[in-house]
Amino acid sequence: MKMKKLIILLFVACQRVSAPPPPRAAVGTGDSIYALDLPGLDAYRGHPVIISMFYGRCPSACPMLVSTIQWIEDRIPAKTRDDLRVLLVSFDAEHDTPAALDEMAARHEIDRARWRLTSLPEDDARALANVLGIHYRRIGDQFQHDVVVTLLDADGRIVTSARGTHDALDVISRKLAP
Amino acid sequence: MGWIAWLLGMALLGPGTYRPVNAPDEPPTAVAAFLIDRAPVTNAEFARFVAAHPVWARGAVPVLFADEAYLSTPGEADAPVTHISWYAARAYCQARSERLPSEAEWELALAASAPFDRRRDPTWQEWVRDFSATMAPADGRVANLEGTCGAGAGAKDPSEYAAYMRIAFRSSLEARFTTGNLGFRCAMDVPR
Repeated sequence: MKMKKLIILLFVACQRVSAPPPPRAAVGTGDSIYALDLPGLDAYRGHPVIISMFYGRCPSACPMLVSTIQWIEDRIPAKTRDDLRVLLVSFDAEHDTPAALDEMAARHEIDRARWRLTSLPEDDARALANVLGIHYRRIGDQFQHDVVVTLLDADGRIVTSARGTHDALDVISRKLAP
Repeated sequence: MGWIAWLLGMALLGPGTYRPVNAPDEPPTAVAAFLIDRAPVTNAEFARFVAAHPVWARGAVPVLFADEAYLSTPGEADAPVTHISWYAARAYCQARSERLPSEAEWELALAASAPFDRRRDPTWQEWVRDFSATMAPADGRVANLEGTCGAGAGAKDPSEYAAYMRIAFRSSLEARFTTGNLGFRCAMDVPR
């Protein structure tokens, strides 16, 4: 009897888990990520923005992320680049203090006139990550996370996004320099 | 502190530790003492929030923050609100100067809830702040789970089985999704 009940429960639960997800948000439907009202995030409102998330102590993926965005900038016309801004947001506010981010910017020769490195507390970081489609989780001292690079228009709407640095270089630079 | 929590309709829980059933090899997450609602947010409570914050009304909410089914099933006033997105749940808790519970906090609260232990109920779900942390580890444990439901069937006792189902469900969510079996409650840090 107990077994039978469990099997029924399993069936019901699997139905729910495997139900088809509702359609995704259409891109360019007038929705701005600035509507999240996250602190410091709309500093570049009015400019197209490349936005991504990272953490500073990351050994491999994050240095690659910075290089990739720099390569994108090398590929696009100077006029487009001058208008473009870059926003890199850390989900590790505990370690990525303003001083630590300054140090990181210097190490990667980041153009601080057009790039902004910042961190958000957990609640806000989760909201931004959800909008950008980034999953992350803390495992001990490190984070496991997706690398997603997103291009926003001047109003903060998602123009396009790419998963992984390889696709990002291709997709974002083609969008900026057609 | 306990009686203040009671007056707020909240329970004082923790400190404790939590380790997801699908990650037996990972170090457990330490959970500081926290306050959490004793019951999920109801339809009546959410309706009052929407009246004060009309941007969260059905039809007004940006599509980035809720899918088409958002608030599509008005239920009884005292019943838990469902068809609610993660963004809406977060905004509700923020308006109360609170926050969504973490997965670890929510699971601890579930384990502490008596007399009905909802760990055994695989069909009821609630939003947690870090649902997007539930993702496939490198070795694919959750990925397998999501695809087949098989890992849940291998669980030894019903509470563990339901925990597997919750993990599979969370890993399938996106923050704008809404469903009829997914509600939420709020939590807060213990004031120092």
